[in-house]
Amino acid sequence: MRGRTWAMLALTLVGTALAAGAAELRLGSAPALPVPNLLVNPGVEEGTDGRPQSWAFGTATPAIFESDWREGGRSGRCLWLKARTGEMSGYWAQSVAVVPGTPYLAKGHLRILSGKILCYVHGTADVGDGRKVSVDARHYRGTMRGHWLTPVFVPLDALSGPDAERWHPFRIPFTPTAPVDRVAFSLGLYFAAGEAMFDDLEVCLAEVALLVRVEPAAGEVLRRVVVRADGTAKPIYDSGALPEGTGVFTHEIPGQPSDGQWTLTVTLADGRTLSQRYPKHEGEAPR
Amino acid sequence: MTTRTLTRVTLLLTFAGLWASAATAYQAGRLTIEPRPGDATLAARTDLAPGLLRGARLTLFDGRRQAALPLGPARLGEGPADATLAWTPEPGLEVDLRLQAVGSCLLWEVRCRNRGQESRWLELGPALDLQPPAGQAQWFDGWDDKALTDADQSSVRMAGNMPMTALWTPDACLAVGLEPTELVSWFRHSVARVSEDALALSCTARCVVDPGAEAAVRFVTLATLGEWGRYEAFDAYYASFPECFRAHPEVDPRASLGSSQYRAWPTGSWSPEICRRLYGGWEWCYAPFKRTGDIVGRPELWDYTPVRPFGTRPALPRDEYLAWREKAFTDGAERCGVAMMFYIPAQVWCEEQLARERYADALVTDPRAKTYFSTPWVTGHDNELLVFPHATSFGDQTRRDLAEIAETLPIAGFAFDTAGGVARYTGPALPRLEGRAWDDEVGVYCSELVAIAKVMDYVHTLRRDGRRLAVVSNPMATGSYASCVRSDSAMLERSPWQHSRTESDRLRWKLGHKTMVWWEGYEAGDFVDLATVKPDDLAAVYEGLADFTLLQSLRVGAIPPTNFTQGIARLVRWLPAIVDCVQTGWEPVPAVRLPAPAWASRYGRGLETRLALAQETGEDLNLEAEVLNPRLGTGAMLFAHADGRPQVNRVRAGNTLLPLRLAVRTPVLLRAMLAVEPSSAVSTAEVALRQEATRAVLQATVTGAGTARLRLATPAGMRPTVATWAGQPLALRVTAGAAEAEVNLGEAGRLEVAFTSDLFALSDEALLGFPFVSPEGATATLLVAADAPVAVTRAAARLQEYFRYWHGRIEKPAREVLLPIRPEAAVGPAVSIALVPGRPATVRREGDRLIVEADSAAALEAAVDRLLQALDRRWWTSEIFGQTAVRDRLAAFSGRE
Repeated sequence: MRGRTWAMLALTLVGTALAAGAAELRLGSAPALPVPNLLVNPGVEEGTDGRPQSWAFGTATPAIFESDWREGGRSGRCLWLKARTGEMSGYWAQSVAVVPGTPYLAKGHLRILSGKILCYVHGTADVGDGRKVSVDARHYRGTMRGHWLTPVFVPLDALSGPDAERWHPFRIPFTPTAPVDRVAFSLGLYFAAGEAMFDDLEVCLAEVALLVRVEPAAGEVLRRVVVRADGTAKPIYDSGALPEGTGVFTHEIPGQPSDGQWTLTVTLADGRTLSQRYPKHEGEAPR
Repeated sequence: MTTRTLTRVTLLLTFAGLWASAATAYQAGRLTIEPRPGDATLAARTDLAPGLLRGARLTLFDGRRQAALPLGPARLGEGPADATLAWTPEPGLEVDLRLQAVGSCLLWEVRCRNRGQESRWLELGPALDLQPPAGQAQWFDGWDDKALTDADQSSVRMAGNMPMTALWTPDACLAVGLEPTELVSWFRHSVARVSEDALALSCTARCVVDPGAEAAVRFVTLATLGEWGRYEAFDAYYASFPECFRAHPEVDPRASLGSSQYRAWPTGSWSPEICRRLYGGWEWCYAPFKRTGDIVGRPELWDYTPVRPFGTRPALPRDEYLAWREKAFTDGAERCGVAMMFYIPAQVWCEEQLARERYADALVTDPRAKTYFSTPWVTGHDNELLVFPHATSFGDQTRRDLAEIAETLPIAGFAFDTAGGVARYTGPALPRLEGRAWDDEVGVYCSELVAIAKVMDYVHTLRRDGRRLAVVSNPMATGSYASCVRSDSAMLERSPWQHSRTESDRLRWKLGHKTMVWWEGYEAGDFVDLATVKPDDLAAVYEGLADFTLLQSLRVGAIPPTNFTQGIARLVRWLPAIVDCVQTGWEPVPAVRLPAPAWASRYGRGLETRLALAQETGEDLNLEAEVLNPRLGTGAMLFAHADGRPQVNRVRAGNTLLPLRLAVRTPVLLRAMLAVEPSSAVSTAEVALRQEATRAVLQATVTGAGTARLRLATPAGMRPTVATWAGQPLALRVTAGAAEAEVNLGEAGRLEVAFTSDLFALSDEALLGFPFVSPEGATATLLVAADAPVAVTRAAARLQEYFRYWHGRIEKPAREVLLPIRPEAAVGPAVSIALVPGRPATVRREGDRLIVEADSAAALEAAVDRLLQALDRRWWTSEIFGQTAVRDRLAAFSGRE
């Protein structure tokens, strides 16, 4: 604990020195992070008359489902549903406009109390001749806890499944095929009796281009620029030894995940290293 | 029980003083309908519940104008000669109705003639006007039971509805539906409130009548008992149209067994015995073609570029592929004795290039259906389009292809996958199609169900080896009624717990008495983490799922195929009884009253009755089940456990009361053994059947009073030989296929009847003690004459395979044991196999020679089937479970038996 405190203090001092007149490091992205969430009411907190704004529940067999906008979410309210039988699937859903051919990411958090959930992104468009193209990207997750075969036919202790008391993140990458320009993000129970909850949902661009800009201060010489994604040892970019006289250094790294975090590290000729993280999440409340 | 005669009562009626004619009352079962001239409403009644049925009507709706079309005054005795009533609702449209009793249903044939210039879009059908007592009626909408409400309710679930709707009270059940072979693209079940206390129960169908043409739709109405609700209606429906709810009598009977589920496709080293021991009668020979839509493999269609790379086999040159295919079918048929079903995706999917280039008129473009697969589907390497395989270019090609396959490959039928579809076809063949309907989205269309039904009908016209080709299908619970009616048996592509406990019921209802088979398998990974689960926990999951499979198999009449049974001792031990029940035929009315949560299912009736009873709680239940004997036949039925254990029967007020203990996860299966007439003569009985392979003894201790006629159930393949009553010889006579005798009942009279096999002329000890094999190896020779027919050499090969399998796969350590097949007698034991003209099939022993003889190939094959089953009593195995970690425990699993 004591060593960590000293290290944090040192970092603070370095950062202060940089701000006082050293090289200017800028790690950013296009578009900027966080990318816009395409969903309306993604936290499921807004609504009237007992219904969440912009979210709708649908199934071909309403008689077997209960659905509700209720307290008990990660914060505030969440989407809840329960199926008495597995005769039919049922989903909370919201649709969003998308640009064909562009990679996207749908994500959120779920609690699965019993049954099998399906979160999926889907859309269809006609291309003529009776043919259709579609996007259909899925995330299944199931638990047998609470299955109606327990305990008489299946022993409870043997069953697998995610902890029903915790929220679990999920993510679904997808790229709509042209001409699909609108997709639905559906969250529900997939032909299984069960109960599930969904909260803090997002549909956003999956990729950004990282923009690197390093401007040395007067008298400073850039030797090397490295960008690493958090949790990976291998750099996603390494300039190698920079030629003498490199002035303002800029570089673009396309195709980076929009939910990533990176560190830009610059080595100067005098051996000093400067770094910057992107994006910064200091102010984000813990979840 | 059902009235099969049409009662005709002629009345003289006068209408408006203008004309007089003969009116007829039509009666079927408990329903009477009497047309009334000049009135759109027909008088209708049932004696079951006076006041419940108030009348009947034909309803007519104009789809173009979106308005009901009043029929106007009915004309009696006019119109076509066979018409009951005729109407002219408006100029250019003539409607007539023909009523006819079919079993306990009254058939309504409604015919419409269009004399106008524009095609007619009609919705029509019978309605029954009902006045049920408040709060006592329930409605079945074709899928679910519904409570009656003040609002009108209807159901248009083409994908899955029974073609029948019913409304019942405790006293009576009224039903309206389609005649089961009728092909319509759209039908609706509804219950509508016509006044505060009156309802109309109707089934209507949509049809299109072109100018100058006539269209007919056949419906049924019925009235029956109310106790078992919708099941009472099904019972009457099945009984009235038995050919729709049993396998075609001329198809291979193995189509009604379980499936070998890829144990014979392709065959492996041990396939013959695995298939036989696990009752795998037919094989689902998946995708035996290179290109979806070209099932023959025609040379002009062979070479094309797939959208995804071919696998190894489709990449073969055509002659090599066809040679492989022929060998694969032959191996399964001849080596395994399995009825090979040539897989087709119901001929509704076709490879995209082929469909566009050759069969464009057949393309289905329903905007609400999935009509295109751009992801791997039938073959994996093709993209496929939905097509309409009837009365189109693809339909014509389909017929040629099916006939050619039937002629060239040793198949017993076709396996129809995706058989339940109802997509709407609107292509150029539409004007030629029957069963068309209309809607406000696509206009006139014809449902895929019509085309699939026509293809199935065509398959039944094809013959091979003296039999019609069978239709084994995969229609799903949501499949159309038309596919189910035309299938000889069907799989449910589900395990018994998938989706819901009762999803299988919907397929069962549409199949009637036919064989249903579960599919899939345990897929334990859905329940446990296979990477971390402890072997004992995993085994416990398998045991529990196997027990659930056992119970549901008996509840709904489904045979568990090899993925469920292989290696699980308890299921394999129950399998013969399950197959016996399913082949006897599931009955919708259990005719057994018992307290919830226990349930009962019935198979067969009269002395063929089997009763399965169980409960699904975690506690044993002691209860008394009441069998309603009048629902089963005549007399009081007396039961023993199907495995022969004794059962106590008490007879009260004509019904049989059965005290039972329903243990956790353990079914009780009872068989009717005796019928006592009059039922009042018997008060109690304890009945048991001690059965071996070659003989059986029925023992009953019966208490009663007075003279009674006893009719005996005879175990399959046996005949009664000696009977005693109270220790004295009892003369038996055979009446209507059942042995019977008269006795004077008193206190604890003892009946004993010995049965002997009609095949085995030796004891179990002599058969099972025959020295086929010794620790040193084969000891018996299989004697087959040098010029023996194929049937004899095949019989010898099956016996040889039996012991090769046992010692090579089951016995540990394994050893190769091959009984020699030779033409001449050798020293030592021998099994002599021969066809002997005129000699009934027999298996007998003369010293160290076992003799197997029959007078025909079919009789010899059946005799060997029974011989091998008899040998299984000594050389029994549950076969081998796939996962080593739980194998031994599952091989020893016996539940609580």
